[in-house]
Amino acid sequence: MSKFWDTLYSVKARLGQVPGVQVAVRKRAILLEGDPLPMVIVSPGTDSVDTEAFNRVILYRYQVNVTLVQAGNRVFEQDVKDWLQLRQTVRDISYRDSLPGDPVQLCGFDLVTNPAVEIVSGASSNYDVTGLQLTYLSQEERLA
Amino acid sequence: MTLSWSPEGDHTIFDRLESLVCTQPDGVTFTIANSLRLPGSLQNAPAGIATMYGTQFRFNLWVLECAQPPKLHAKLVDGNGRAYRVDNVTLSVSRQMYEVDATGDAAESLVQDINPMLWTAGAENTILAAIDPVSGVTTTLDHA
Repeated sequence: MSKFWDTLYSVKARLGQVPGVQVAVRKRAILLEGDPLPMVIVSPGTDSVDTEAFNRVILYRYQVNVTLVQAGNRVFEQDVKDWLQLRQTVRDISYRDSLPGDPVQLCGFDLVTNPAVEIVSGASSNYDVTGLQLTYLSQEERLA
Repeated sequence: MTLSWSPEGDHTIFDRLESLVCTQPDGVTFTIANSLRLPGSLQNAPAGIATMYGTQFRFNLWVLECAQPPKLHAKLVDGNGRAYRVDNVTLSVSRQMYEVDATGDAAESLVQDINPMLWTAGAENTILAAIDPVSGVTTTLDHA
């Protein structure tokens, strides 16, 4: 398996601890017809070279996008508290410096959050969305 | 001049007029009689950092049937309990009609929206006939 896939799958396994939320790994953050809500979609971002060293040592950065979706339905007041609690639960479970099964040789971790709520009204959307970008730093060896 | 409804020639579905219950964002609720539902679509749309799906319908409402104009984000509930949120409202046809674009609640598909009302004999929206989009042949349904 690729390091990226292993990382995505480990993130999915960890987010499975969030109660009442379905988790899926997808190529991109897309909600499919029939998906249950709320839902977390784990998708790959970019992988980039962070540092090079002698003896073909490379530090790669793997960015994993975590997208949390719930049914918003233009309810702008009543569910703010619950939404922020759910978002914090996802964030806290994600913000760890290790992954289940240690899929990559981690030597760094970073977390960037998107706006707490993104709402697109109209044009077929009645969802509340937020996201986290998790970046894992992995030490690997490149080919000669 | 008196205007009258004639759904004939309206895409592939001829349906009857229906009643909607409108709940405004401020909680004011009223019933709208004799509304006409135009064809709907199920489509993907960007929602924040992700891509979601939803259904869009247009309802034509008589001004005189509305206690007040539907406001943006108002909730419209049809006879089958399906809810839609108002995206935009256009005052048209000699200021006698509101053309309302609305999006179905999150995670509701077109099938969920359409099928119950099409195939329930006696329902307000009982379908009268369907046109095969390829052959153009019109079929009158048994329960029409």
